[in-house]
Parts: sequence; structure tokens; C-alpha cells
Amino acid sequence: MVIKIVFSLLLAAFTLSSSASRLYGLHEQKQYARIVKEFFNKDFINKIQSKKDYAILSYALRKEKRYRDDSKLIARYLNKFHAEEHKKVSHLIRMKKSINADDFSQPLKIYYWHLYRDLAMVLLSYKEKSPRIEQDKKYLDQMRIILTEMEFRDILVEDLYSKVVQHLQDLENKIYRLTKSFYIQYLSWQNSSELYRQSSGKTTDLVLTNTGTCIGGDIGIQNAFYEYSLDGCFIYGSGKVSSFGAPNITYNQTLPAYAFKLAPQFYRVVSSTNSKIGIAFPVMYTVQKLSKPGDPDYQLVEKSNLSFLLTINSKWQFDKWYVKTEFGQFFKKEDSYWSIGIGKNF
Amino acid sequence: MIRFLPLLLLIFTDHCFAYAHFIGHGYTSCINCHFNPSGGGMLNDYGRAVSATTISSRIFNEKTDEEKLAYTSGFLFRKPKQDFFRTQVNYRGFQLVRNPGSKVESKEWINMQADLRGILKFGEQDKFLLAGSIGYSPPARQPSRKEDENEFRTREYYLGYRVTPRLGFYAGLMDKTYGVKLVEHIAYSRTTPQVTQNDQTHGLLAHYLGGSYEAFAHYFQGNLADEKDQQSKGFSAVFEKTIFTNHRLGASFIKSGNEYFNLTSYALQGKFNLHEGSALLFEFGEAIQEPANNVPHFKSRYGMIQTYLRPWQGVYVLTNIEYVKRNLSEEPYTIRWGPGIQFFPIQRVELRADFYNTRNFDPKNSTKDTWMYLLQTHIWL
Repeated sequence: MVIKIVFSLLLAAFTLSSSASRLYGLHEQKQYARIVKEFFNKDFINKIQSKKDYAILSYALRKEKRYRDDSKLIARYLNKFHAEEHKKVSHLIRMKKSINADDFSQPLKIYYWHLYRDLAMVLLSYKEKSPRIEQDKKYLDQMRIILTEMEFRDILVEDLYSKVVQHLQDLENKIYRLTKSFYIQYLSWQNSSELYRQSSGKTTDLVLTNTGTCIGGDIGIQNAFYEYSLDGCFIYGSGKVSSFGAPNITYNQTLPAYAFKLAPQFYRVVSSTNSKIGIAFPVMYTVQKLSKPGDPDYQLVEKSNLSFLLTINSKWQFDKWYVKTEFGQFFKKEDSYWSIGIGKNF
Repeated sequence: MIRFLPLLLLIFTDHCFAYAHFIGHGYTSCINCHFNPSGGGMLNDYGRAVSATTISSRIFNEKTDEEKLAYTSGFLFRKPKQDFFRTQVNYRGFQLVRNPGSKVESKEWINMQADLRGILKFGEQDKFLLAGSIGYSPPARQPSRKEDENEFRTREYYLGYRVTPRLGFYAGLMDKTYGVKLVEHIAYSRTTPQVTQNDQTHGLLAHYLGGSYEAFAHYFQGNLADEKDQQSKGFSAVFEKTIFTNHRLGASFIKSGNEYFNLTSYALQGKFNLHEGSALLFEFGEAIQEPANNVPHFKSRYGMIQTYLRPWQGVYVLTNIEYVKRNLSEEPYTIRWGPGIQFFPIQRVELRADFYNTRNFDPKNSTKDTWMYLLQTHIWL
């Protein structure tokens, strides 16, 4: 029985010794992928006794960009070889006491740095928001405090931290959120129509200059860079219509106008105040009845109530309130449209 | 409206490049970048560096560091070797298109400005200044140029003395201090109170820069180069207060007159920082116009809202909204709407496109809108 136990121990020692030799050989040959493949497993890690083995495996994991795995390995290393020191550091940080860097060993500081860098690289690898980010960021913040207190590579620590913060902000900025607002606008649009003279077969231009109020809102999605939304409003107004360039007839009256406007719109956010510039393609349905001319020789030329526009828009944001402007032209017409209004996001 | 276009054209220039919208970059006071505290005129060294590094686009020199850009922002692309003299050369020209797309469309290129400026400065923090400019003045369209009228003129020369960094006095020929100084001299907020391109005056300007406010008082005797009976004498004052750290709210007043015309005008003005270079400007005012020879007095009202939104460095998208009611006792009024784009591709070059749509509102009549646009090039060395 004793012989059997001794034999088993010898066999285990021999196996470990031959594994270590292979690990060192692969490390010398810079075969980091092979190291990770062959040695990053529970069996080997549980058996590791030397700091050198930890160092080689940790180095290989970093070379292979296995930062999360490396962070776990370093945590294990710290527990095994620097438990007392780490406990002392944790206590001082928790008690918000200052740390004397000279009281702690250099390997501890180096492994803290590697752990910090691993966590930073993990955070920088996120392509989109994830629930794990918060926890990883919490660990990173803790390591940053420790390294800053120890005054170890503090410039590098801050550079890396800035990159992480920027990256996380970029991820946040990409997220589209629902946006809704209500607004009221003062607007004016000019429309043209025509009078047809039967006796001569000629037409006379009519010019309608309308002003009105538009009450409506928009709904869409927005991130820190763009907004895509649908805008709709009801317009109530009135307009003056006059004949233009026709000496033989006076056609001059003030008419009420009702309209509905629906517009898909796209904005680019230009500042951190959420001010935007954009374009929209409104469709406008207008009801404005022109009366028949007094002279029976003239007839009104019927035109469609539906109009299409292209507008350049801007929003000047002040917290939840904004000023909105639109300026545009009707398709296939010379007539233009503009508006200015005030709105509130909710 | 079309018949007024030549007159508008006559006054369509800016000799002083007052870009109040740079409040969007955090500059609440003009004196940060200009020798003249009310803005316009020559840029100081800091203003040139800001123009090169912050205002202009970096698309053609993305890899050049800011220090180098600032170094080359001086006259003839180098840092001045002495401290007492600065100079600047400017050119501005534009293609004006009136009634675009219509049967009466017209196009012309106008060399609006070509001038040379110089300033002598001495003492700590430029305590003493002697500034002047001379430049080409485009032929007048309306009224037509007199035969003996010189094609070259000066619009600015003055002596400046800053008693302290906060308090300064300036004596000489300068723009009247009033309202928000805009590039667009056809703006109703410039034409109604008569502070446009050729309205410089000889006078004494006092300027005080407080911790959170700025004040100007300008006493003037008219432009002494004009006929004596046309010299418009009076005074103006501007007060602006910084609110919420980086916005400005203020008021202006001007009273001036000569043998033919008296004017009193007042306005409320604001400049708001919308961050990252974007800004909102406004001015609302009234002018009491008192012509001589028993012509009835009348009161005008005007308004201006202008935004510069900056999607990328060097690019500003404009929305320019103006209102004027020439006579408050009558009903007609006019609204001019002008989208535009301003682009600084590299330092010392500004390209600009402005559209103007003018709509008249008259309860008795409806008239077609008028349109025009300008494609402007501005180069300074």
C-alpha cells in the first residue's frame, strides 16, 4: 500500500515536471495559442504551484486577447501569493485611508496593473450595451483607485480610463430611444392658382399668401447623432388671394384655409444641447375654397388639394423645450413655405 | 420689392466680419478676438489662432497639430517677429443671382471688398492702439456714383487707449455701436437703425468689460468726410449681461440726426450658446424716424432671429429670419427668410451661400415672393 502511494506521488510529480517543461518550451517558442490550448484548463491551473507558471500562462492569455480569462487567473494568483497584501490594500481602500506604495511588493503592483488593463480591454471589446458592462466597470473603477493610490503607472492608468469612458459613452450614444413632442407653430405658405379666360384662351396667375397656426407633434426614434420621426399637424389659417398681372380683372379676397400636414423627417444632432438640423418631406392637404370670379368669362382652374414639399428644418433645444423652424418649397411649383414654432419633448 | 434690390446690393457687404455667432464657441465678448472691442476690423493674434484651429475645417490638414496651425495663422502664414505691428489683407466677392429660375433671372459677380488694414500697438496687453484701413469701394448703384468719387476709401481709423484691461477709450472713425453686429448689412436690424456698411462715424467710444457684463458708450459727430449738413451727430449705448455662464442678454440705444433726418432707435438683443459652435442670435427693436420738412414722423419695428448650427467643424448651417414693419400705423409688413451655409474649408478662406425669400404681407393685396441667392468667397491673409 505504501509503495503504491509513493509511486502515485512520484508519478504526479513527474507529470507536473514534464508539463512545466513543455510550458516553458512553448513560451520560449512564443507558441501562445498552444499554451492557452494545452494549459488553460482546470486540471493544470489547480496544480500550479510556481509564480513562473502563472506568469507564463497569464502572458499567453493576454497575447491571445483572452482578457477576461486572464483577469480570473490573476485574481487566483493574487489569492494564492499575495493574499495578505491584497487584504491590506482592500482594507485601506475601504477605510478611505492613504496607501504607502513602498509597503507593497512590486509583483503585486504589476499584477494589479495587468488586471486593470484586462478589465479595460474587456470593456473596450463591447460592441453594444450589455448588462455585464456595469459590473466590469465597477471592478475597473476599483482597480483604478488602487493603482492611483499606489501611484503606479498613473499616466497610463488615466489614458486607458479615458478611452474606456469614451468607448462606453459611444455605446450609449448609439442607442435609439423613443422621442415624442408637442408643438405649436406660426406658419406661412404661398400658393398659386390660375384664372382661365374663355374668350381669349389665356390664363391669369392668382397668388395666395396664407398665414396660420399649426398644432401638432412628432414621434420617432433618436440617438445622440440622428433622429428619424414622423411629424403631423393641423393647420388653421387664412390667406389673401390676388390676381397677378391681369389688367382686365380684379380678383381679390381673403379666404379661410384648413390643412393637414404629415411629414417624415430626418435630423442630425449637432450639439450636446440636442440642437438639430434636418430635412423633411411633408405632404399637405389643403382646403381653401376660392369663389367664382364675378366676370363669367373667367373660370378658376381646378388644382389638387394635395401638395408635396421639401423642407430644411432646424430645432434649437433648450432643455425639454425647443424652437423649431421649417423652410421649404412645394414640388413642381414656385411657391414656398416656412414656419417657426415652440415645442416641448415629453 | 425687385426695384429695391439694387439698393440692397449697394449695402450688401461686410467690412468688419463681425461673427457674433462665435458665442457658440464660448466667446461672449468680441474683444477676445478683435482689436476693436465692439467687433469687426482686424483680428488679433488670438483671433487668428482661434480661426485657424477652432473655426476652420480640418479636412485638409487633419494631421497638423493645433500649435502648428496657430503658428501659421499670422499674416503671410507665419508668426510675426515683432509685437508692435499687425496687418491684414481682405478680399470678398460674390455671385449674386436674383429671381433664380424665373424669366427675369439675372446673375453678376461683384468684387465687394479688397482692403488693407494695419495696426500699431504698444504697451502691455496692447494698451495703445493706432488702427486704420483702406480699401476698394464698389461703384454705387443707387444713387449713381459721382464723377469725382474716389474708388478707394477708409472705413476705419482710430486711436485706442486701454486705461486698464477692463476700461478702454477709442477715438476716430468707427462703426456705430448698436445691436448685434451681423455680417449681413441688408439685415433689417442693421438698415432700420442705420448702422450699415457706410454708416461709420467719427467719435469717441468708451468700453467697459465687467466680470459678467459689458458696456459701450459712443458719442459721435458724423462722418467728417460727408457734407456738413449730412453729418449725423448723436450717441449710442450698448449694455450686455452674461446669463447662465455663456449666454448674453442686452439692450441698445441710439439717437442721431442731421439737418434732414433724426432717428431714435432701441432694441433688446440676445446671443445664446447652443454648444459645440452652434448659436442663436436675436434682436428686436423699434426706430422712431423723424424726417425734416414737415414730413410726418413714423415708427418702425424690426426683428431678427438667426441661428448657426454646426454639424461639423468649419461648417455652419444658417437660419435667418427677419421681420420689418416700416410704419406701425400702417398694416403691411415683410418677413424675409434665409437659409444658408457657411464653410471655412481652411484657415483664411470662407465660402458662403445665402438664400433670401422675401414675403410681403398686405391686407389689401397679395404679391409673389422675391428670391435671391449669393455665393460668396472671402479670403484674408
